[in-house]
Amino acid sequence: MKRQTTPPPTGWAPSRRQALAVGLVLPTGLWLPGGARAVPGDDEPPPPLAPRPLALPPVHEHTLPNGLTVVVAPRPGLPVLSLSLVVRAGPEADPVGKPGVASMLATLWPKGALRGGRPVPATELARQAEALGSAIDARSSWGASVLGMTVTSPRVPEALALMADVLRRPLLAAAELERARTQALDGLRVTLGNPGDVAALALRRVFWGDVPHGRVAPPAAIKRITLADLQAFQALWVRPDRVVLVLAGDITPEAGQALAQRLLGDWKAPASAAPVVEAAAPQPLASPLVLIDLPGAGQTGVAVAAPFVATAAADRRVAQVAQAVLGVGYSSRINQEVRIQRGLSYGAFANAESFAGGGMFSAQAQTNHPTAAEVLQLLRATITSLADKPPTAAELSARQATLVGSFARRLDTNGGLSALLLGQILNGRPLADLGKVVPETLAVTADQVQAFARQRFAVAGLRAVVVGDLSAAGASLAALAPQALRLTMAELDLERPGLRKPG
Amino acid sequence: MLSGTRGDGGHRATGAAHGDLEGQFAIDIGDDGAHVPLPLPAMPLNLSRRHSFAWLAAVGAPAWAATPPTPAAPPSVAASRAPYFSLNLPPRPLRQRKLANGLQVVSLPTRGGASVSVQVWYRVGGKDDPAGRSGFAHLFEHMMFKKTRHMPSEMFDRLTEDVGGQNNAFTAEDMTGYQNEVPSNHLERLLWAEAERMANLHVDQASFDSERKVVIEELRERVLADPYGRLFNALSQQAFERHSYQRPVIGSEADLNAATLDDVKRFHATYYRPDNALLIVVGDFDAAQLDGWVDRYFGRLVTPSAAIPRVTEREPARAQDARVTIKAPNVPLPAVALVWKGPPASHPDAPALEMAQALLSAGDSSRLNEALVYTAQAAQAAGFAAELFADAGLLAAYAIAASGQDLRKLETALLAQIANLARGRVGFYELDKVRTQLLTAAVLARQTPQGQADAIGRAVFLYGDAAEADTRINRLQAVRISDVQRVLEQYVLRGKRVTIDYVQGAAA
Repeated sequence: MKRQTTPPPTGWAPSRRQALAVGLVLPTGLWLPGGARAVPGDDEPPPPLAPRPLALPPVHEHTLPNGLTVVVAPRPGLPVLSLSLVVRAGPEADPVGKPGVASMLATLWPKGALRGGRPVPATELARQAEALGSAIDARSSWGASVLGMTVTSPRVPEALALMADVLRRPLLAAAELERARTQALDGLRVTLGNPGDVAALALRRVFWGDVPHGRVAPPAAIKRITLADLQAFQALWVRPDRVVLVLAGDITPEAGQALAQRLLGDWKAPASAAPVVEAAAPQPLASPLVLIDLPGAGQTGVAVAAPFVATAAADRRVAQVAQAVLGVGYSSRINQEVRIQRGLSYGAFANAESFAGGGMFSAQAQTNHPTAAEVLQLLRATITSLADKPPTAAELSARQATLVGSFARRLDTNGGLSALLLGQILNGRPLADLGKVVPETLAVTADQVQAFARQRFAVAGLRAVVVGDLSAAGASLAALAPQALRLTMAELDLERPGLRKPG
Repeated sequence: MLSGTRGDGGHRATGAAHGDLEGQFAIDIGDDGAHVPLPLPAMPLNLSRRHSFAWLAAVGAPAWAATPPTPAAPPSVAASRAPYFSLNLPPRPLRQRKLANGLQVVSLPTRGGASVSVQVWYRVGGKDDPAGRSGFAHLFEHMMFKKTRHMPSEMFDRLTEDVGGQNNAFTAEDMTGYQNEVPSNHLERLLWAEAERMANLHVDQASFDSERKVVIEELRERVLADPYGRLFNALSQQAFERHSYQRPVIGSEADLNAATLDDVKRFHATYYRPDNALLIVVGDFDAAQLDGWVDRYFGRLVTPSAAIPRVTEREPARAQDARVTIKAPNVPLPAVALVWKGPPASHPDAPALEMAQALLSAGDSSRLNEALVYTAQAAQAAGFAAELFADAGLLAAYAIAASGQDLRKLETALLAQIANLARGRVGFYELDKVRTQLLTAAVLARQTPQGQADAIGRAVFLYGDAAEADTRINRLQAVRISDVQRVLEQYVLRGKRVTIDYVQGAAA
């Protein structure tokens, strides 16, 4: 295939109408040699027509008496619906010294539940779910743990009944924990053999340090998880006033609310106040570069992090546009430098994440070992040079259009729409604010992007990780980093802030 | 298959195996909920899914099957509902034309939405790679984004990404597809540009050299850096004895380095012509306006008089079983794969094989997952795939061993599960479950213009009929368990196979 799929931007919520207004920004007409004007439709593209307006779909939000939030986004047409049942707590709420608990809990939810007073084991639950046409997708992310299903309309009540039982009455059986633990450990062996994956995990540790968002769960942590840990997390966090139900697709608001009330309305919230997670700012490792040796690796993974905005930052739209200029979309600067101009990688892109206590921008690429040093230098230089080279007008409008278009495409599917709505709720933003994303995005100026880059993307704030066959990478990498922290996989301990195993 | 939009591109596992994987609700914790690929901090607790993704991307199986996969015993909830699940999916009003120069055009106007998918698929793929040039069709695909007579390199990004759209392309065994999605007011511009690169590609040496390096990095990332890349790359090599399907679509580094700019020009002149292409337009458009634009921009293209070369090799039946061992430097857990020859995609047995694939490996409750991964805990992941191409097919069963498990036992267990399905009793509810899964997947594929265009392209190229995009689901729903058992008996249990062991060691 031509290219890697670019990670969609960190956020956007234009109304489609504005999204399409961006379409008016066009490549300038091509000129033929000799000064003859190109003829649209012959030697240059014909002009576009006027953009077609399209609005955000209507959304209805409702709170049940027990505090459970219900969001319904009706979209008649195809007889299909996406259901998401979400607890507003995830790995950032893992107890200190126990990374992996929230993820393991989500994994165990569909592995057995009490249904109608009867314990239903994992295999039978899987059959029940899949007979409805959808697996139960269970996973957790930083601030949320999610159950999801997508089913055809006639199967919606059965699907929600199943999800409600799985969330409220999981069996959390000891045998299932052991099974899941074994699977997770085997899975980690695969992850820890992939240079790109190792680089991403280590970079998280390096940038955030010993705060919740820097914690990853390597094999030793997985081995420590106990059933009591899972039960405690379930008891503390899984309560109706921390739960959100999102229904997107073929359903009316009335039917959605009635179904939620019937299947989740009898769930009583504890009298105690719901717990909160404390925000924590990053505490980066002092060393600006970590080299990890993975002999025999097929490529080298290179990852660079820089500070990014916290969730509530006033300049978050500017930050998103800055991210896009550097690394969202095929034509962003990082991919231009690494792939398009030099052919050093199949693709180089940037992600960003924002939490209450801060944020992380990260750029990543995989390359042949001998070009690792060159790619690292290019990533660093491209990030820091944004402070001196603000986007041109054409570049800015193209990156804005990329963000807006990506947002608009997410609205095309029930799953994409659910994710956008859920993101608003998890970040404490009104659903209606989705309508502001396009105007706010389009209002960002090149000066603002430059000012943001000067503030956040300075050399001193960068952290980098390189994972690969270091002997094959040659002297260029070693020369680049006399003070780098250098580790073998055997010395690497992802649970330690310093990354190095003791002894 | 090197799939484009079909694969996630491999970077992070949050993506879809086939367009937008709807069932897999992506958690988005980032600002406004846009996809921040999930920090695996939360380290991959369910990596089996990732393997399934890698596998399924490799074999092009439908997205729903990407969720690791179950059998018999009526689920209690099912007991309360009508036996056969059905849903009225109206046939899509496809518009079909053929221009005088041979270009085939299929279009489908859809209500709602303000975007349009514009795709051009060519009847040329990995099987048509010139001798000594494995990987060339795919390398050439990359060159189609470079300079033309009237466009500078990367102009497609200006026409799509820069106005809020997107573009990609994929190369498979039998076809190469170019896929664009744009705000619908840009439709005419894309039609112009696709016609332009079909007729007037002007690649220069510098961009060829640079893009070749990118393709070699793509090969390294997919095949060498992925711990199981070498195994999945080997399946076609082992499955076919004569047909050029045995050469991996991604090719070899040596052959990629041997390719020349002349090869590019020759390949374009040979295969990129109106009578070898299919234009698909789905989404928000006016039919009369579309027809006028198609006439204007594509009608003027000239069809060369030379015949298009075609691969005519027939794949013989395998005479005897064989065993091979493949070694790679980073194999976290050994794996075994069994490959058999299968029929071509248009064969009447194809739907039964697809149902067999779903029964064996779609979802946690599928037979292989339940037996090998869950109950026996012998495998970290297990699956079965029927990958049927235009001229011939391959069937594969595989398992990645759980820690300390013996590959011979895994091989025996895979065969036992297949035999059990082929010769044992199959509960009614198990079949109904799979039908429901397939139907749900079919509905989901209708959500986006790109998904619909993709289904049309596959229908035309693999079945010779655009309407197959709709009738396919009916054919699947009509499969009886006796059909499934007959095809498994014929192709798998009585077929000869190659057993591939994949283990740690110095690569050959």
